[in-house]
Amino acid sequence: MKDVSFVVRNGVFTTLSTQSEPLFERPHDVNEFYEDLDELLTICNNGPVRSFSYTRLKLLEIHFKTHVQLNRYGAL
Amino acid sequence: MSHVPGSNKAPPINRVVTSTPWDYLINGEDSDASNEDAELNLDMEMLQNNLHGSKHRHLNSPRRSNTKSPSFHSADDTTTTTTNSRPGSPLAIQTSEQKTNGSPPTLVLNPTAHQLQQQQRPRSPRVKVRKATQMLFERPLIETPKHKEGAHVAFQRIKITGQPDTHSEEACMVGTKIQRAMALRDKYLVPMPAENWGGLDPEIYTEFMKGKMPGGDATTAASDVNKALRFDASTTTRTTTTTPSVLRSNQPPPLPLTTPSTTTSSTTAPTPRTGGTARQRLRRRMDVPYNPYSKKLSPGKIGTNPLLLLAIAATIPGTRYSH
Repeated sequence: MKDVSFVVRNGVFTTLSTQSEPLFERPHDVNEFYEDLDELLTICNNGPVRSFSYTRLKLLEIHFKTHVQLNRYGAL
Repeated sequence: MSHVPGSNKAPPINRVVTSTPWDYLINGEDSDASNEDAELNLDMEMLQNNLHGSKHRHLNSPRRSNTKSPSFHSADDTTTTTTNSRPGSPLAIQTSEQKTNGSPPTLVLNPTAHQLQQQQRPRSPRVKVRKATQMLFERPLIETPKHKEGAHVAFQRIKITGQPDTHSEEACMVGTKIQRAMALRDKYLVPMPAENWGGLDPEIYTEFMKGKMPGGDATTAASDVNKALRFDASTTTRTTTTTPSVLRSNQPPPLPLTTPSTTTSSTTAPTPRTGGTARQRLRRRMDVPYNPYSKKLSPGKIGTNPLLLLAIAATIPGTRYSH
């Protein structure tokens, strides 16, 4: 097993190898996470995007219901 | 005789009615063919009445009361040339079909019973009943192909087509934002490799990967252990068969058994299965990411487990009672 060391960088524990290189990819910090979360929520609350997503979901539901109506005898 | 308007007394009527409107039902004319003709006639009559209006519909109604005053009909006759006034009355004017050809109408006084039947035939509810019955019970039965032997049941597919709006400004804006959202999703989504490595980079564990790499310098047993840790079902049996040879060469003879029965020893010792240890099977069942640091297995470490030794000895014939 390699000798590894742990370092706290910006509040995140990071695993370092003997050459002081991080073994794992540095995880996202809190600020970056909240920025991305805010952007994602803004996109989700956008009107056209919400309508588009709702339409797609309704279309998918209609597809499924149509499939059930057409093949209910075959699926029994 | 003249009827005084406003009097409650019914006017005398010279009726030559020898049959009821329902005689055609009683006299054996209720066959299918006659019914069909009657219904057709009724349909034609209904159509004609609808075209002429509600007044003639009222006059043709079999429920028309006999207490109507003749003045009502006489006044009616003065306004219209085609009348269907009270049958049997000598004042009744019966017109023939020649009227439609431009010839003067033929007056028929005291129509016969057959003509009366034709005129006063009630609007039978059988038409509607027959249509409703046909709608309900005479529909073709929907038979699924499952009812036929050897039939192939195929799912129906329906293709819904449309013309999506993909090039407008709003659609492009929506597409851009959705792509950005998908990128954010991929950013925080931990990629799961084909082999369950718990999302970790397998190249980190170089020692662990030696047996896996082709041409590696690891021993066969280590390779088997590595493959067994990767839950390869084809190599787990090899792990159980190769370890006893190593154990017999390095370890002292097994412990003396107090009970000669095989069943007790097999019940106390965990029997080797194809899926590895119970922990491995549970981990595989729960799809828990593998943690290589939790337990490090090696052939030498397996040999120090007396319970596993007992189980291995029980599986090898001839080794138990050899001292």
